[in-house]
Amino acid sequence: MPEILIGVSVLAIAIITATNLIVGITRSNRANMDDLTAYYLASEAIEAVRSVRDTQWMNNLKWTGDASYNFWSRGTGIDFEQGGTYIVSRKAGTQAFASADALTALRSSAPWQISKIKAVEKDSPVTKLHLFKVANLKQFLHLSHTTLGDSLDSKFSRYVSIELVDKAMEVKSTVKWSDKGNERNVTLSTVLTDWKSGPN
Amino acid sequence: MISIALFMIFLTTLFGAYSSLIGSQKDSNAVRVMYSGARDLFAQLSEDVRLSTIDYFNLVADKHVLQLLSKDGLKQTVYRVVDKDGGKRMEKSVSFRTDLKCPFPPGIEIIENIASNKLEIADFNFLVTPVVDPYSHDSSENKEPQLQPMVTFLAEFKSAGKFSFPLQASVSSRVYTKVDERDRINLGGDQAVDSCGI
Repeated sequence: MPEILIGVSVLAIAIITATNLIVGITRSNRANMDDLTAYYLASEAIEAVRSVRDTQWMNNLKWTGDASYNFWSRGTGIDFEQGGTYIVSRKAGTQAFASADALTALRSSAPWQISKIKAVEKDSPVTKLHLFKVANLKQFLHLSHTTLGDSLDSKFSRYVSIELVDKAMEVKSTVKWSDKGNERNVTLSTVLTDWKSGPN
Repeated sequence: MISIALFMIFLTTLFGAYSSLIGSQKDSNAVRVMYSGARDLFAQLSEDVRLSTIDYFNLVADKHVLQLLSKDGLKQTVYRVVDKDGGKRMEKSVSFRTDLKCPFPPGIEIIENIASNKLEIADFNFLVTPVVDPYSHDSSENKEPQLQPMVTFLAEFKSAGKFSFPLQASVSSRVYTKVDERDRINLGGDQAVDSCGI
């Protein structure tokens, strides 16, 4: 009888250990997928800021914006602000599919909406930072700050901090999410310069 | 009899646990293959978009096709999401030319699947912004805002038919000049073909 008990105990320990290992691998896989998603979301926000800078240049505007049409705010009158914290989102209705009938409609559509938020809001769980799963008319699921139709809240939040030093701009993009109670984040940063030296 | 019954119960439990572990490990491996394949595919596409610009002259109304033009305008790369063997694959073809005013011949180098063969692509869409060449003469004369070319990838990957993994990325071109000397509006396609002897 003791031999059976010892045998059962050893097998039970082996099974529990193997189960823990598999659970660990599964969690690790999920965490890796979240990391990858967060990396590309953070990267997308930096690309958006770069796109705005390039668009300012292309339209012969000062790269940080000026009193005339300003792509930092898509012409809504909000100027670029030193040390500002922003959320970056695709402008609703500008899902720029390469279709002939969209040529005219999309010609004047800036793809990004960059909205300034208060610095304190980036550390609080406010909905402004949340990214929603949005299915547009073409049924493509994507993540956006803008809710459209049947939007579902995702686990990710995103904000961008911009510091301007002379003719360089340090852009930090942070994506935060909660993984079973553990707060996790991915932060990417880059330096954008005014190498084209647009109008001052 | 009691001992045999207990042993049978124990063996059944053991077998169930073992099967479950093997199944979980297979799922884990499949998920790992999915996200590593997705990461490689996105990295490859992102790099290509950064170093190229959109081939606006050949832009087609198809969200499953992306045409890129190299910085010198002599190399065209076409990514195409195709249905094959009950799934989707990412096909890449490359064409070269020697004259910026001439069209590209059919792709001379075709890679049937640039993604890992183990990667299941459920859907993959290319969103091109803007859809007219911002550096063309027509756009320059237009008073509407011009935008730096950018591509957004919206993809969904699947693993063993159980797990799905949506992934999105946006990458803008680092080419800041007009590359193609052909103009979609002002230059007749037939004229170009005739003068190039194609």
